[in-house]
Amino acid sequence: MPAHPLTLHNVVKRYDNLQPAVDNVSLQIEPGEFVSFLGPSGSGKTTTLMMIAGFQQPTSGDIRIGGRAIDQVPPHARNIGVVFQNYALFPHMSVADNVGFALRMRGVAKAEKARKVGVALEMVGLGQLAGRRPAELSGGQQQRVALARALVFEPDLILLDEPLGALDKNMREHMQVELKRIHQELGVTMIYVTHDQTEAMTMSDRIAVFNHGRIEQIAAPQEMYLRPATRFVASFVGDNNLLAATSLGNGQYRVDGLGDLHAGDLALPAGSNVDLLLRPEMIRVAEPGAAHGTLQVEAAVNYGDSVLAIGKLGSNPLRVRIPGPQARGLEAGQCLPLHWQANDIHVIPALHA
Amino acid sequence: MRTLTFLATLIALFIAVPLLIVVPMSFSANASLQFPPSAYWLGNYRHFFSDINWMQPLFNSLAIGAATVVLTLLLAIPASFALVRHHFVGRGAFNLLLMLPMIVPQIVMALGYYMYFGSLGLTQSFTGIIIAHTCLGIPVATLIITAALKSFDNNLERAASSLGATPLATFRLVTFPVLRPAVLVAALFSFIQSFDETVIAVFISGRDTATLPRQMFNSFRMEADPVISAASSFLFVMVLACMLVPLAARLTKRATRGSLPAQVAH
Repeated sequence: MPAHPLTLHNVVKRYDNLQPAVDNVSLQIEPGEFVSFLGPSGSGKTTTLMMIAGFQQPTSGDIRIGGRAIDQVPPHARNIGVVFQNYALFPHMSVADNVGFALRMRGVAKAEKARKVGVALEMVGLGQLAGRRPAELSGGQQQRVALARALVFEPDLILLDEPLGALDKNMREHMQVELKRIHQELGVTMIYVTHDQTEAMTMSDRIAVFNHGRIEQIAAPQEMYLRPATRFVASFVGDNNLLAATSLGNGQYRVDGLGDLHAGDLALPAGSNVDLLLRPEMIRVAEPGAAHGTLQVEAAVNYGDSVLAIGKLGSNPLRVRIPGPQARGLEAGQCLPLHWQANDIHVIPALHA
Repeated sequence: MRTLTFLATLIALFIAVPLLIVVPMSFSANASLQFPPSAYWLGNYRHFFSDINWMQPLFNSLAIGAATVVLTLLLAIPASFALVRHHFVGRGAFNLLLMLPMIVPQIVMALGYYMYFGSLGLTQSFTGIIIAHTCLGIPVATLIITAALKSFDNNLERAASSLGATPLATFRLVTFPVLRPAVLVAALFSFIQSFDETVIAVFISGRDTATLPRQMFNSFRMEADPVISAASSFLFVMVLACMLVPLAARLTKRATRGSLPAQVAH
């Protein structure tokens, strides 16, 4: 197994003289990690992936594997497996020939090649279909072939570019589990590009959130969910309430149209602008006399296991997720007393303009 | 709907009528071209296949066609890659230039070749006809190959290189095989184009390098020899075969493929 970390150091990609597509990205990925690049389209996540694969050259900065710069190494000599969203299977070759392509390029003997192809196809559960052409397979099967093809040569790193984006929801969830299993079995480093935050949350060891060509935060999913570094991360990952507030010092914050709130103290100078993040499921229905505020319910969306109450807290829009049993009979027009823990409020300092 | 069917049949008939006349006439026993023939025999075909004055042009046509295909592909494939994959100054003009032989009337092209090749000493030579036919073949070949290249998924090449294929191996094992059907169609069209081209052949091919259509034209002008109808039918069948063989191959392939039980996604 490879034991080399991948490092990106101040990587910039600029097409013309416009806003750079990738703007000063630095990160280190440890061997065996599963890291997701999460962000909206055009945020630079795919461009970064393409530079790691060698399909595009950074304008500046460097990319290293185990300390060795790979900028000058052509893609075919990088030993990196890539899985594309549209599968990119070779249409004129059988499944076995697709999977065996990398071994053929490496001059692996016939018997050994057949054995490894067999193992790889078994791993993705397609042992029976070795003789088929890609066009004769379903989307999910094609994606498995693409995966087998990218891992059969035991690459240092596997890059996955929105690999499940073209699949329907059930197949996508099924493949997420498969992919995690394969990652654990092989212990190979994987970088997974997606714009689906649930996918990133459920699969990753760490998530790098991209926005406007920069990494806004790189952290473990839970950490990112509970303590997002920026307003963008907070709004992109998970359902959220963001309240604009002003620090009063000593953990007191003033929210316009609501009043003062107590939350974690960041020792910010009084008068600094912050955003207060209060996740909908962190808010509870208050016991009598313990309410921090009252929600004017404007809509109640029933999910079966829970109800999402959407309304206004003072003049601020607020979403509250209430477990099913507590939400019986909840409907628009009601007033709901709310309670939350001060340490469930995460304080995000506003970016300096 | 019925009117449309009627109209379509009428158009189909209109297209087919010359064939319906020429093919029966090729079996005519009459000594001159006349329709309908009063008696039928295979004499015209015997004459066609045994007369060196017909066989030599037939052989010339086949040889010129084959050489034209090779030369056309050698030029059209790189040109298509340049047009589709690269942005360069004058690309639009270059594209237009390649399409010109399709736009310029053939008689104008022929006259041009006649005068230009004359000064180069290329009239009455195989080289001259092959060059002229290649120019005629390039527009269609380029159109076919650029269309295929535009719909080519560049991720296929990226995938190949990530799997360890050098640029040359990627072209040989992935890019070319995927484009091969388009290249075959382009080859076919340039062959047919050359094989039945008449105007330029009349202008620049000499006695020894005469092509089949030129020989037919000469024969018709000189003597209205009924063998010409056999030659015409033969030419038609050749071209038809060129079109049908790949089609049949594709249908057979699809049939054998289709017999595999389709695996249902789970």
